[in-house]
Amino acid sequence: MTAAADDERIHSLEIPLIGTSLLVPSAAVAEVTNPFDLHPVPGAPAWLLGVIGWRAQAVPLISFEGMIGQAATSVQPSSKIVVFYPITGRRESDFYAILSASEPRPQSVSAATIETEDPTRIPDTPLIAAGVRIKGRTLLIPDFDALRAAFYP
Amino acid sequence: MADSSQYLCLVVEQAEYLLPSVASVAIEQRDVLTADNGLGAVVAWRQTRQGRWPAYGVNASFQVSRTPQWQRAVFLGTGSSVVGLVADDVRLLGRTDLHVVPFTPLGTPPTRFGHLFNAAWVDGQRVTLVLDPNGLIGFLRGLGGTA
Repeated sequence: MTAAADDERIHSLEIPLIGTSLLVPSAAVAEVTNPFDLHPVPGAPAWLLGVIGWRAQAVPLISFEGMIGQAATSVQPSSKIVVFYPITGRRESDFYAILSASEPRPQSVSAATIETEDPTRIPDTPLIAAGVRIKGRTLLIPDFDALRAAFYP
Repeated sequence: MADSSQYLCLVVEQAEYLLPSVASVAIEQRDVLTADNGLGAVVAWRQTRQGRWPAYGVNASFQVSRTPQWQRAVFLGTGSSVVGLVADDVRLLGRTDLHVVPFTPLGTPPTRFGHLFNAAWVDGQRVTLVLDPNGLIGFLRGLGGTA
């Protein structure tokens, strides 16, 4: 890898979950907000925690932990809501949100600052594209194509 | 997305849901329906010349419930496939009062007829989901109890 590639930094956001963290490009995130009125969606899977009213849109809030086979989380005092732009190919109003266990942290990552995590140490699910290690911590990178397939089967 | 000019607001165990008013073929008071005293999902029937239409009872989570406080039933569908949903109250709302936007629930729909909802009324941080008539009909028919 060249020095230029090593220096290429990607502005990212670390989203703390229960027991692990996600790493996503900051460009995918529309806003981080405090939890507010959450409305249940009857007939939805357990990982769909409900829907919020945000910028005049109805935005579904998901528990990523629930999507990868762990117990679905619920809103806690320390929780934050991370609103994502619509996944490629969806309507421009199809925002969605992930419940974060605490305040997300910005990360500026480059090839020089991350290591690939041992695949045996990351959850065995198509929703995770890869795992990386940053400063000794494991962060999971979601597979947005797989997310789209799970969201809109 | 719902595109009717008016919506019915259905109150089910204190939860409110909207239904495009054009989807409704009848709204009946409880006292003109025939009670079904069984243990199934059908809590009442509407007699018609062609037969009878079942009215189903669900709670705010759309689980089968024989809640006693319902006062009205909204019927939707066509021909012999008309089904009803009982509600504590039913009000007619004008579209001018509402900001209705498309909404797709995530994940696998509860029935092969699709999701229960296809739009939402967003009023600030308050969200009221709009029922998809086809999804609702399929869901109610799937509850059985009409044999």
